Amino acid sequence: MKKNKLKLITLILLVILIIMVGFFGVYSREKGIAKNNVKDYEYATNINGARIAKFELSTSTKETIKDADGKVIEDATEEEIAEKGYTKQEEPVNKDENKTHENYELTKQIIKSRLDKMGVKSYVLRLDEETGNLIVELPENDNTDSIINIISTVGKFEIVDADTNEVLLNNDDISTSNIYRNTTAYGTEMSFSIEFTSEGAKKLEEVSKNYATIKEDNKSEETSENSEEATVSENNEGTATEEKKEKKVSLKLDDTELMSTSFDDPVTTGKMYLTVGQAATTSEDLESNYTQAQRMSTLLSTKPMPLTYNSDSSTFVEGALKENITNKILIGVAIVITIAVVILLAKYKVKGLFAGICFAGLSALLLLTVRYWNVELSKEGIVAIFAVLVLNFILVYKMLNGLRKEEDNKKVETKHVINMAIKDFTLKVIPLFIFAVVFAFGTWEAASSFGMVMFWGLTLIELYNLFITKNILK
Amino acid sequence: MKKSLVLILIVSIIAGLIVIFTVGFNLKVTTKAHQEILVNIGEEYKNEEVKQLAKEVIGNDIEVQKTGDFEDQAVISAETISKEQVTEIVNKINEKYGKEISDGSITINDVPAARVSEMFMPQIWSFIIATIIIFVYFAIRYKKQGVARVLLTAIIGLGLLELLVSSIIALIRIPVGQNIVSIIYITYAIAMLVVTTMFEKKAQQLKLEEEKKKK
Repeated sequence: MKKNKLKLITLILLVILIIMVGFFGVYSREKGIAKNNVKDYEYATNINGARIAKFELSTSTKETIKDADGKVIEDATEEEIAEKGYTKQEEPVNKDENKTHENYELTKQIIKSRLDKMGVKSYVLRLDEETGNLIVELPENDNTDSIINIISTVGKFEIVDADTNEVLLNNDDISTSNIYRNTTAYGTEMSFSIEFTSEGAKKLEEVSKNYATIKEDNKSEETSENSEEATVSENNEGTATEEKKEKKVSLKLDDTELMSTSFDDPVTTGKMYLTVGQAATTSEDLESNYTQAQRMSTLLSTKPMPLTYNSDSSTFVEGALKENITNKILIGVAIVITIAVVILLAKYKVKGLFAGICFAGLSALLLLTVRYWNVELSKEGIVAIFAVLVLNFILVYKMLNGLRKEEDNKKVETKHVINMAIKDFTLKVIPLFIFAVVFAFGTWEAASSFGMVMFWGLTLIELYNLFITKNILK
Repeated sequence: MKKSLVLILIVSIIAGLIVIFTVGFNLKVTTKAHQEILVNIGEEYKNEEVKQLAKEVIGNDIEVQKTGDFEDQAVISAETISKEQVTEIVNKINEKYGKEISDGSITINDVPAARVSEMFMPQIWSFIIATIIIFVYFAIRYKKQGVARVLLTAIIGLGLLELLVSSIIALIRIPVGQNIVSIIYITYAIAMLVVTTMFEKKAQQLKLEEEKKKK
């Protein structure tokens, strides 16, 4: 009997301790200032606020050189222009005929694909259907600037002949691109793949054969093939030999050359791998290489934008709910606890009071779990907290109801009644558990926040009531 | 009583659907196309205070958000904001905070609408996967009740509850924005809980009947 009382007092003290820590925290003095040592809540974008980036259709112009037939000439000197009768004119980067509703919608879809590819967990896109201007709301973190840069890039990728500028492969030939990390003795290498479509793979194989690297040993070999590309030179002995000139391809992004290369071997896999920078030995270098690889991988995996946008301004705007959000949550939870305790106390007297204390303990434990499990609380996550509290109230109420019904039946043990209530509850919440687990693994911030809170809430309801509430009520 | 309740539910759903397809939902100000102004207050302020001042000028349907490095600027959003209203709001802020902000430097920006469906669509796969797993669980656990019957009940229960909640939201004109996601989650959770409770009750009944038969 004495042992039981001691156990009860210990459990109640433990619950009170959880309540104190969960709701009020643990304070220590640091330089004369009281500091709460309990971890703070982390909030998701729809609470914390978002970076609002405005994308406006570019009104800039670009210089275009055309020949007499109106064909665009990539590059020409002033003398060539005068000599060959080329004309030079300024043209808007966004031609009027391209400013269509379809292109605005397409641009929005491309931005959406890029954000999905980069795994951005929460965003809102707003398209002004009249002007084509876009507003993108993004989570604020270290990558936000880089993301804005990537989504505002046109992303026109081309593999061209380095000499003639003939387009050999472009975005249409690419199916996807992925990032790869390889740790070597020299550091961590970051690379990205360019994976071609079946049609693109055939073209790439052809290109890799035509633009093969000429190895030193073969340089002086006579070649009969591609004689039009061969040049004649004299060797040291004064004998005339045919020397094949190595042809190179240029990889261009938005008309800017990224690199110029030739192929060591024919590419038959339909995949190219390009390494970004040098092997990184510091986290800063690794981060920088990753950002570059991510940029390329994202742009190559999505179509080029049909229009050019400028992103001049981006501002962080705090969520409308953010102000004193922690206090608001705590007050909300306190109100639910008060209502629960009043109902339980009124209906079940002393047992109701104990059950009420247990209810408050679970609420505090849930809040602590959310903080220490780094759950980013979104509006949906906060809703889940209250849903868990309601579910726990239903279970506690059922336990007490069961106990009251069996009060006269001395053969039935309290433990058994509570076990049955928990079992019944568990069977009913299995679908919710499945729902919570699937959502916890969701990539979307709102879904994962809701899923995580529900998962931990349901787990705590089961374990806490089995080990704490049952032993206190018993 | 039961019949009248069912009738009320059916009428609510039909009325809600008519409202949804004719008038549509009452969208939150920041969800629909709106206008916003940025006021540099120059000191920390409480959202609620500025919201109150703006409400006095524009009306109830507004939102105030903090911005700026020192959180001393306010973005005030409303469906439409006129120049006169800007002047009035600025005067009220100047009076309240003892400032001399000029309304001439404040521009009214147009903000396009966000599509409510796009706020929900990224989660569609989570819903589909969760629903399939739950339905498989139902089919296994409650197979004695008839797989087809169980699945049909679950689908109808889920569909009806989502329809009922959507109708109520449309009818009582609750402002819809991103909160729609929470509402859909909770409705889904309640629907699953109600349907499972029904199935569990039936399962217990069947178990008792079986035990009686054995005796």
